[in-house]
Amino acid sequence: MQKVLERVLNLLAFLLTVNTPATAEEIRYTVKGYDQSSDEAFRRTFERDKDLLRSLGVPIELRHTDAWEVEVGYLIAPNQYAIPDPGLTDEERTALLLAAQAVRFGGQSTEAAAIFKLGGASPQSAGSLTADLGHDLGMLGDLFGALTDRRTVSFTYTSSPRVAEPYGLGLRFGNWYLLAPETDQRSTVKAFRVDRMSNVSVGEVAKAFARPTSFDTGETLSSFSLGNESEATTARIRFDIDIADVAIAQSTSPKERSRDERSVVVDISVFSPDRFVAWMLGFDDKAVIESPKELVDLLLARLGNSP
Amino acid sequence: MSSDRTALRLSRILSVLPWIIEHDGCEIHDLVERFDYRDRADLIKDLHLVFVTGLPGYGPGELIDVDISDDDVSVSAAEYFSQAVRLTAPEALGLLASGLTFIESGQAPPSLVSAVEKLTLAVIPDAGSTVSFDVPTPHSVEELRRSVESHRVVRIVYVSISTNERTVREVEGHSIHFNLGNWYLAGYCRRAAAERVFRIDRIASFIELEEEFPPRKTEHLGVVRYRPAVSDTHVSFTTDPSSRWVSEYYPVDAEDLENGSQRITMSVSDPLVAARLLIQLGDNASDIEGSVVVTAVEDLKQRIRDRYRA
Repeated sequence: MQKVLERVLNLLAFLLTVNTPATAEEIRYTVKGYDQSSDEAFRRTFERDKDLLRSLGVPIELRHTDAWEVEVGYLIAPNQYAIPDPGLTDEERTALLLAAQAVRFGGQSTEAAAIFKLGGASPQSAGSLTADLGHDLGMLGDLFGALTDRRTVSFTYTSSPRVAEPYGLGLRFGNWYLLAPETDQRSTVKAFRVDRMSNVSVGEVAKAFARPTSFDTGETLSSFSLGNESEATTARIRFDIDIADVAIAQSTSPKERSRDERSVVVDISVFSPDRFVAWMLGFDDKAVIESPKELVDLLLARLGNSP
Repeated sequence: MSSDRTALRLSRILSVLPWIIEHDGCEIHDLVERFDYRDRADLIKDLHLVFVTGLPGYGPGELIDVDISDDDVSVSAAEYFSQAVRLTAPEALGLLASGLTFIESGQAPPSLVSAVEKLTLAVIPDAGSTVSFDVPTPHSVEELRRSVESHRVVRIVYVSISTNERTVREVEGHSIHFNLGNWYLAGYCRRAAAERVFRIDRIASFIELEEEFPPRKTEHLGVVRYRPAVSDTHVSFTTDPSSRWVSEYYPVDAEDLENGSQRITMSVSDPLVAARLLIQLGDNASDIEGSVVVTAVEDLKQRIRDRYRA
């Protein structure tokens, strides 16, 4: 490991300080550690080293060495190598470390390397609060990278190939969504569930599109899942007293109409009749729709004909 | 040689160097703690490695100069390593999402709020509102967390998810967990005399008791998973493509069929749990097998219909 690390540090120092792209040949005879005997051994070693650096986030660029575009060489632009220092205080680093330790992504947590890059933080004993945000960071990270660099994303969704411009990434009801218009229909932003996307690949070109400045991921996502406020209907429900408080806490804009020792009558807003009926059925026979009749009929239809 | 370990070691070296360059003469014990080294020797080993690297020529003028004294260390001739490598996209998202989870749930100290603001600006300067988190959090989460942290027993009124029945329980809470869109309280339930997990939006009310409990050793903090038992009832059914969430949400065996349908096999301790799910699915579930559950479904349907006949 020692020799690998020394060689890679030499390579990185070299690529950060060359002003013009360096060819593989030049690297082989200039950078200490590339004394492999055969061309093949050198090529393998050099490829592995580049992969190692890229896995850490080091942006190694491949460019033509001259205007005639005959040869290509490598370099690292110092302003691409690092992000501007966010200027965190030790207290802020510690807060981030604690949050990163508490939150998992499908069982995975954020690598310690991320905190090291920001200047490290003293180890902390874990708090009592933990969370799992479901999807693992691999594909989410790719999508987030595409979003920050404004690159298009190609993927398969409901069995068809798509190309989209990622505007936003959001978590709602425990699921991750990518908000993006498809390139052949830019006026319509769609919500794609990340766990149903497959064959994801990120486009080569950065800054490939402009995101409307007014775009708001949270608002867009809630308009998708709740529906339009103006399309809501009001339903009057009688909840049995033992589940009433829990049911009301889960409802959208509940207004209590009456209450006695056996039940509570509440008006609530209904955006999606189907989802509402499924939710009501979760309370078994402890919740009854009093009005409107259409919702009662929908619920009874879901139960099928009585035998 | 494991390449993962090489990567980890290299990435730490590339973070330690900028820190030392910026904080000339910084203390060794601070570095050890800050960058999670095992001990002083572990750190010195990395610094000795840096010592023999540098720029072509590789003579005294080109090699990186590391000066280690008893307590402190400084590095020179390595200006090109004066900044840390940019965060990878998964690292940046991991940190931001972790921070935002706490912020959205109202559980973040001010230092986390400012850290996430600074980091967002550094990672996505033209961010606008690109990342959104909906972490609906009942007020009780904050209060229950305080009870957990002060080891105080809470008495909760709980409306069971499986039976919709209301019970009063004394709980020694050991963690609060967010998963699949819901918050959970995990702890030792005195009524059940066992570890239990409670969905917080089903806790109708609670009070914190005066009594403190000694912290218990728990195996898994905040793991919300149903463990099937031998006495469970089994049921199988086919879901249509719009109901794939069933296999994602419930701990079931799912077999993929043609056209996106799935054959689900589910084990439940209470047939009512499966019955309720099947009623909620309506026509989206078909070919139900398992007589105990089928009876429970008919039973429950009848009870609901009766309410509308009255």
